[in-house]
Amino acid sequence: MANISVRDLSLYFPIIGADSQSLKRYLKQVAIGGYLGGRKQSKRTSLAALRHVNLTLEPGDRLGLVGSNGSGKTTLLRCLAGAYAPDEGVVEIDGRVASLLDLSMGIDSSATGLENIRLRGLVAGLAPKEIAAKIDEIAEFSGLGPFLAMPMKTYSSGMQARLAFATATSVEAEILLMDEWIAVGDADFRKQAQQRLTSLVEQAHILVIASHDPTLLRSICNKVMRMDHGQASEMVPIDQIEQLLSEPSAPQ
Amino acid sequence: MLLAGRKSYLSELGQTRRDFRESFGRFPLALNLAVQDILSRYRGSILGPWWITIMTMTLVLGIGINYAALLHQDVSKLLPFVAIGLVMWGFLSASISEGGDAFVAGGAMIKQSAIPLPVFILRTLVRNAINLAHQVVIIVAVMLWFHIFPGAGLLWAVPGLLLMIVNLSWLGLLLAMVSTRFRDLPQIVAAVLQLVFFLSPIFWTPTAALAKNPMVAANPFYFSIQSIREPLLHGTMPAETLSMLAPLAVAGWLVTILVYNETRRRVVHYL
Repeated sequence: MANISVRDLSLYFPIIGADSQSLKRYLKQVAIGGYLGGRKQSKRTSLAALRHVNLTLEPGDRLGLVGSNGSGKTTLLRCLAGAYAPDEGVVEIDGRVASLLDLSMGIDSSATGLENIRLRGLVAGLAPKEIAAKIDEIAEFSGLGPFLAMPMKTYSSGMQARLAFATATSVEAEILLMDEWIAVGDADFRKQAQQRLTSLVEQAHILVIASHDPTLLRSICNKVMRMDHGQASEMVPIDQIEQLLSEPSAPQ
Repeated sequence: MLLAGRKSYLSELGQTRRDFRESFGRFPLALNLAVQDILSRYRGSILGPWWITIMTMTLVLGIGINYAALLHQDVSKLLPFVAIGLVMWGFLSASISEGGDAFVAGGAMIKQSAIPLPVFILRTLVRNAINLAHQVVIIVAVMLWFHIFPGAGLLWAVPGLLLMIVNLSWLGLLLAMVSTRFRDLPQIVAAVLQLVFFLSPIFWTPTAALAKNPMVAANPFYFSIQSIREPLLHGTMPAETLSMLAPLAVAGWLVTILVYNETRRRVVHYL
């Protein structure tokens, strides 16, 4: 049974300027601190990317995340993908997670199409056997035929997207994470991709998708949540999306 | 999957343990990334990684023959010594310097997925092990040419190599963590490695007069190479393999695990 439970999740990004990422600066700080003799706490600025987010999702939930740029939608998705460890709170996930956050992750442009399918599958957490079992289906869906034996860099960007999409969506998962709806390829492929994605969403027990498109969210989601300066609103049914979006931004 | 904020030191150690256990489970990923690294680096080249073999071989012959003449040494003694020294140094120094780059190179994956960090050190080590496998040819060729057959004692090189890998893995992980935060470190490491290369008895034999010199008597880089070179040349295991390298491996891993425990949450923010 797929389940997501996020309790009081907070995440802070330490802000490290390009030049403070140097040993000299750090040593200077240490040296000066020692000279002054005080127990001065280092003033590390940090950005609260997520503040006390609560979220419970059960099978059948398709959650849309809305909110302005920088409000924490992608960060929350990455937290659910396991990339960030929370600073406070708990993220508990039951079930296999497929993250479609970045289609190009784990793709090596000098490797051939087939090599990339394998690589991407391993990155997504598939066992070599599972990949071997799926590789024909992925190759067929991508529709790239003989091009699969050629390096990815010879592909047009549309072809690259097709392969990345075919591989990324081949993971059967109970939980699907998406950052914006994926629309790739030419008209034909787009239609196929749409079908595949829709069936994936229908199979996936839980979907979390961040998008700026209310019409899209209304067509695939049943719940919606708004992010604002790292804080999450209550989760409401999708038909209240207009209301949710029209609420004034919360004070910082 | 359960991710939580820092609760107690013990729970953090549990997470650290889980990271390492999962990393071994994802060996196929590390292997594939390593192979892909080599393939993409040498794509279009006919000889590929054999170029390193050719370059090392040139160096071995050049140094072995010329130094033997210059220093009035026996080529049949010096050349095998230099051959094993240079091949193992290549593996050792590349593992260390590329180790510092491991997280930065895997940044895109670290920022978006739950792949545990040690996987990226595993990738670096596997990649360098593959390169090393191409270079073993030099050692075999030189040993055959000079009729060096130390007998069964040759097998002492196996624990020597394993111990070297254990030591390189903690050092690589430690450097990767610190280098991700402090981007100057890789340059410093490169400079130090170069100095160590010239000061250590890797391509020159230590004379009796130098026996007390710290670069000969207390140099872990030298002994790490000796732990493989001695068995291959003379069929014996140097005492320092156990007295110095084994304790170093234990102490190094302890320190690295403690640092990892403190840093594992932060690495992603430094990328």
